[in-house]
Amino acid sequence: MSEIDLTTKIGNLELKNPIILASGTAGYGYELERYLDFNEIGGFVSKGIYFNPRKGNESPRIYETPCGMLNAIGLQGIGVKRFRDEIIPFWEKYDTVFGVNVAGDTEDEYVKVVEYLENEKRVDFFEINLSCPNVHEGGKSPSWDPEKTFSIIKEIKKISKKHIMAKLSPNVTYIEEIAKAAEEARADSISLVNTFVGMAVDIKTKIPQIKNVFGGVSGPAIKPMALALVFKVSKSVKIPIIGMGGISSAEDILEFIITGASAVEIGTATIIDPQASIKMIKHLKDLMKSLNYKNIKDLIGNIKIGG
Amino acid sequence: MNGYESLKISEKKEWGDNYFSLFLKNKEISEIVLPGNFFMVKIPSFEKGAILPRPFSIARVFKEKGLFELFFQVVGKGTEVFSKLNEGHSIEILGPLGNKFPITTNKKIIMVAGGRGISPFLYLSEILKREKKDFLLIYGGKCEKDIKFKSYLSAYNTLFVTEDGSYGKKGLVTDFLPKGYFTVFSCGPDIMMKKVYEFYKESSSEVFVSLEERMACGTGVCYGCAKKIKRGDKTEMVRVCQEGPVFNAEEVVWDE
Repeated sequence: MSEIDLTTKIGNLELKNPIILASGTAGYGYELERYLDFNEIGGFVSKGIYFNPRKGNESPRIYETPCGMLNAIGLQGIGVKRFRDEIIPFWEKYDTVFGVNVAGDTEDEYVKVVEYLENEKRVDFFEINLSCPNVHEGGKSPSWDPEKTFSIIKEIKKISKKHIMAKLSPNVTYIEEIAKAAEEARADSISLVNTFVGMAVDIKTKIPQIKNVFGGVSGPAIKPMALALVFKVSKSVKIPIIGMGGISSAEDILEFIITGASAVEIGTATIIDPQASIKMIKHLKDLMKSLNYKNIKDLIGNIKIGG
Repeated sequence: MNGYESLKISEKKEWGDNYFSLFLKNKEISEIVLPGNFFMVKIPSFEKGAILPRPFSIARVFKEKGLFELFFQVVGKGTEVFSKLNEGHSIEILGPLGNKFPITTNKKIIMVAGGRGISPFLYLSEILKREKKDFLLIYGGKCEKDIKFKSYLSAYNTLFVTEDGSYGKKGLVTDFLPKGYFTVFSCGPDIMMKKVYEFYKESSSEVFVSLEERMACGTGVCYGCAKKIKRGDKTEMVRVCQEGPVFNAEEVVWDE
């Protein structure tokens, strides 16, 4: 009778639960196969893919910070050809929503990646990585600029019939403007936030802890800021939102959903424990039962301001 | 599907000078773990804001007791938290992970360890002795305080070296490398491993080194622990946790 309903929708994407494994924290999938059953996960986003293979940054690439971590991997990746030949077949055997995180140094490159993978039936959506802080010159990313955001999404929409999710950076003054630009360009959804630009320095050697100098901060440390941005964006666009930033418990998931997210992405938690997502899904049911919540869909954006 | 497992600390040893050992009981792990393998170990309750698990190399293994040892030196926040744990406390561990030192031939084997790099060679010495291999272990540190496991290692053919001569030979381990070994294993500071490689490559010995790099996931998902490795005429950033930690020294890009 009182079965808890964890299903949710992001536009045309139907998820069995609101938990998606975030890009860059779950590899291509095969790395996690020995730890979890992907059929139990709401969705999965691949590591960011450029058209050509990429070497990534020099080490050190990571550094632990209070309740979080800095990373500057530099989008090391296998390129679209190997991705299509080796990774997409792996996903055929799993029943979960599967997205490809699309990266590019130029507008053209984003379009080329989408073009190359557009006819792959197993790919359910493209998450457009407008926001990696570690690869663009001077740490600039297209999602710092509403016009660039609009233009990239528009060009991709011209050639793709798949669900297009725009992934936004938190390192901007007015995120609402960027979100609106993505919506105007007919993005189907918005995922946020990518990492916050940060750095750390070794006081003995005076050398930055990350070779790239700057890195992206993730983990529980960024959760309150991420939540505020999810709230702001949810108030300024009508398309669905996928929230992320330091989620590490079922409680955190509900907090993002109530604040306006239709689903969430789990990132650093998977780095800390490969089974974190599965544990959260199990706990989410119990938590909802204890709070007398029946289904996820009713909770989306059900925040009570001034109440 | 095995993930992190909670294990109680059976015994803790304080070696002094910031070196510690934690002994953990798990029959299955003690049977399958191999020298070179490592574990990711989680810090209990996010102490001091530390959220990431830490990699620990396997040290000694006591199969008959189902016991294994993690030996470490306090080098930062994470290892400091572990050093304060005691018998009866629980820790969560994932593994064994990673590859092993390969014993493929019957050639004479030399192992060269610096400081806490002794870890993988403790159990390896026992295995090599059991398999009746001809081997030598060279183990060095700054001074006597850095040399541990003296009584355990007395059962094996070990040459001790200290920089100040307070224990064993005086000098660097690399001052005492003997010729005539064609399989070489090394673990310790990069500069030491590089010298070991350069010494033995001239006699076309096979040299394997265990590399250390900051690690976050240990499972291959984050690409944080990459080292520059030669592949053909190119170099690639390779995950230490997935393709290592043991690499053929020939592939390692040393000059940086």
